[in-house]
Amino acid sequence: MTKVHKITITIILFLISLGIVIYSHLYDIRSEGIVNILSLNWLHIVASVIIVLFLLMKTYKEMTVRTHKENHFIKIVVHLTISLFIMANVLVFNVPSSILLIRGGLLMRYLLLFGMLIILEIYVFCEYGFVNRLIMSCMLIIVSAMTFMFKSHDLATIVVVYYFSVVTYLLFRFYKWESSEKTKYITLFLILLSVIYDMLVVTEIFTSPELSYLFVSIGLLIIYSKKIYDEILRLKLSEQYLDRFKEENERLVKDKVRIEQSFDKMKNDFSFKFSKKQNYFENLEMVIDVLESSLIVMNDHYKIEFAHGKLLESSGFDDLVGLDLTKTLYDDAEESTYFRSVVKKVMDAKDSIRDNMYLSLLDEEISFSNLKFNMKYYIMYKKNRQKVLIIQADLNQEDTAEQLFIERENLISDMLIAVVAKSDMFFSDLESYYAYCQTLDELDDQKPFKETIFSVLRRIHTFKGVFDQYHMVETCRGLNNVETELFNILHNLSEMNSHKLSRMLVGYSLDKIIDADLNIIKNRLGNSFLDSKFNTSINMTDLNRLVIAVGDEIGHNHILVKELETLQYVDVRSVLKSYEKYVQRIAEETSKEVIFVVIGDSIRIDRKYYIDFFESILHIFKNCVAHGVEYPDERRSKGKNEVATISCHVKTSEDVIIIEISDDGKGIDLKEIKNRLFILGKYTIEELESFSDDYIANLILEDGVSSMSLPNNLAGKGVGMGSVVEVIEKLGGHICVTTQRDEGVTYSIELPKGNSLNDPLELENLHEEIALQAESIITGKSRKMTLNASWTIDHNNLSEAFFKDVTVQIMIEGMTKHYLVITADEKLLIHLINIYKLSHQYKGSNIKILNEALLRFAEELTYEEFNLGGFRDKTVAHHGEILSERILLERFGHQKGRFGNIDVTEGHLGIWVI
Amino acid sequence: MRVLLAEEHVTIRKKLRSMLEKLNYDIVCETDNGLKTYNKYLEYQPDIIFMSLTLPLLDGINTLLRIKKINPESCIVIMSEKSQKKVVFSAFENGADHYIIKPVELEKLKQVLDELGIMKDGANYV
Repeated sequence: MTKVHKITITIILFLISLGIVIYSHLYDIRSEGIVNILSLNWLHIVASVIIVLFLLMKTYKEMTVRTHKENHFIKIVVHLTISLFIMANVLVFNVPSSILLIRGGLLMRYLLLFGMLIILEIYVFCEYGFVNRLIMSCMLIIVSAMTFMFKSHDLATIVVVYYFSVVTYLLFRFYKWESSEKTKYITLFLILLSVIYDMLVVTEIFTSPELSYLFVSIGLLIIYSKKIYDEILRLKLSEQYLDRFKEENERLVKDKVRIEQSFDKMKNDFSFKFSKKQNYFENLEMVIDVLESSLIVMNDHYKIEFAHGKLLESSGFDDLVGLDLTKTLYDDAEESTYFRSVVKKVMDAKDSIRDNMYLSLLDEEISFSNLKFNMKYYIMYKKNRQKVLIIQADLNQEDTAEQLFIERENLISDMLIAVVAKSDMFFSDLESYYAYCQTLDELDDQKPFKETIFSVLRRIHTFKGVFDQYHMVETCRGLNNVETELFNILHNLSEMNSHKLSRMLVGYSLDKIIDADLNIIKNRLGNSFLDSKFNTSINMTDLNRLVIAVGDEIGHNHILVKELETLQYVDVRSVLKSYEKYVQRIAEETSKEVIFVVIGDSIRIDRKYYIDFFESILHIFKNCVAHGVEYPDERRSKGKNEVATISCHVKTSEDVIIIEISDDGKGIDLKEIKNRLFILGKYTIEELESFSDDYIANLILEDGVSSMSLPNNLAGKGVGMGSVVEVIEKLGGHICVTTQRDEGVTYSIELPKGNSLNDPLELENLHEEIALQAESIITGKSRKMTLNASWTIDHNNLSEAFFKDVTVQIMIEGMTKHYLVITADEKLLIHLINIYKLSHQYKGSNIKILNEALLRFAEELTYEEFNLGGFRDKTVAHHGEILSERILLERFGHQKGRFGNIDVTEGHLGIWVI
Repeated sequence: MRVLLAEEHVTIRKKLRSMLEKLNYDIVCETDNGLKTYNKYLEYQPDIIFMSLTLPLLDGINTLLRIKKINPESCIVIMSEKSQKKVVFSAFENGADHYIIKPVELEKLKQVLDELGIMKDGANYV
């Protein structure tokens, strides 16, 4: 059995025993007990007043309270009714005399009890729950209603039942109630006791009812004192709280003061640090200034965080901090977006390797307001791990200017050295260039336009090579531009004709292109240098006479005489040798290594006659270096010597000069040439397949064929070889190409020796015509078809006398070229002097007049137009030159020609056509 | 390490080959145009591809895109002229792993390969 059950059983046993005790003492309603209980004394009044006041107070409170937790209306009604009855009890039923009054007094008594229970409920149980009270109220009202229903002798039983139910309720509550406050238990116990005491009074066990009031008042007192005590406690507690708040307040005030102090301190610190930082910045700016550098710090939003230096100084912004760097630094939107996207990539990069990798993609050089800057980029992390980009910009204008100046000076000195060293060649090149420029005014529109443009291209290409030889950079650049333009025209042939082209070319003013370099030469070497060109090219006669005179004086083997002679005649080998430097230079430019070798027979030629050839031969050397020779490492891998050899072999046979130029490079890529030819649409695949290798190799000589897929400045446009072929064919020679894979290319050039095509019939005709002309001049008669009988041509070998007499050489040029050598003895010369009416100047042995007479005679002989090369037009006779015997032998000694001696009464005449 | 070499100029290719062999790389294939490079990549699945940007037929960027589409993990080193930085950058945008400036120098090549190794995290590229 649990404790609860034990208590329940105890309570039930107690109630039963109480019931038994009371039942034995139940008497009539008018018994002493009920009277006692109803008798009104001052305690009864006080209790009634207190209860009524309390109930009224509660009623008032509940009337004013707005909440609707309970049914206030019922409560108010109940309270008011109870208090009304209690008051009525006190005022009306002072002394119970009749049975009705006793019944009424009992009812009042019940209500008093009921009111007290309500107070108990509210104060002690602090319970406003409706259910318990409702049950109790209903029960008590039913019981009190019984007061008027039963007979008077049963009234005592009703009263006891009423009290008993109150006790039961209170016990029930007491038992069920759970509270920690002992005072409330005591109070409840006391009230319980007073109710039980009342019952005992009713049953006449006790007589005086005052004791029950005492119990109740003690109980109430306890409750109130407890309440007051609680209130005091609460007050004390709040006092304590107040104290604590005060303390807290003081502490806070102190804290505030302290914080203010520390704030001041921090403020000082900050301003100190700020000034220090400012100082630091100033120092930094000073350092940047001293280093002549610029520094920009940029955050990941492209905003400038710090900027100092020349780079952005001129940007026109006062305060750069916070501006968008990309917009400030770059005018060009494309550049700006590129910079932004690269920087974004850098900012997003995960590691320093990627940082640097992407940074290296930024511009290393920037030009900003006409200044050039060398840029360096670094990534730095701030304390908060934020990435910033540091840009260092060094002004490099002075450096580059200086460097450019030095480079320029080097180029100029290269040019000057080349020009001075080969001044004679330079002037003849210059002359032919100017001559060519003149011809451009009127282009031949008979020929197909494509051919015309190719011929122009070839010439310009050649001149480019020629001037490149003299390191004339500006000229080469200018010519290259013209060349590129012409190539563009080739793509757009339909819109052009030769007139337009000629106008265009005049627009380029080719003769002005060369001026920039010529001005430099003029400035450095003086005007006289350029003017001196006229001294070298004209008046060979004077020169030859000088050679004769000097030779007679100091001996023909003297070194000075030889030097003088070489002014016009040069060894092929030495001409070729003069390309060595040029070849070395272009090899250097393409970072290849080349040895240039010239070997072979010695043969002297008239450079003037071959000048075009020697100009165009440049292309072959360029081809060798650019296409033929491999890079050193490639050569090594093939097992060749790293240094390539370009060799020129000069051979002479009876009537031809053979020049073999060969390299030991990779040879011509025949496959590539085939591709190229196919792309150009010149041949079909079947045709190309049927060609032999040699044939295809020779096709590179055609226009527009190049094995290089990408042309560069040096070679690859496919024009060079065309101009070589053109020149060689003009000279009556021919060129053929042989190639062997990885063994190189050989260009064999065959040129007719001297200057004739050696057509015996042509020579004979020419010789005859000259003889006829001579007869008509000497005899003073008009020209006939055949020679006079007295004029007989003796075709014996050259006689000694031929060389002893005064000799004149004259060149006749048509489609072919011939030299005419005329010799006359003194008798004939005097006859000529008479004819030309120069006798008044002739005094004895005046050689000058003799020479002049002969020259006039020779010129008159060649005045006619001759049938040369199948055409009878456009023959040009050059000025005659008086030759010494030695030069004559040297120049023509080995040449075969048609020779004839004519002995007539007027004298002896020798005619030699070569 | 197996390497594929895509470069249109014979000389540069040979030079690079000798360098890479000096560094003990295994060159599985050499190609001279973009299309071939792509096909050879599929065939050999090399670890590193050295690729010029100016390949004929299919240029470097497009070849790169195709290869990266097949295998985004593939490791591609771009070779370019100094003046082509913008193209190099667009190659990076399309997933290139590194680049090297032509003409290639041995020291630079070593550095690039080292950095590749670090970037690819631990893989033994050297």
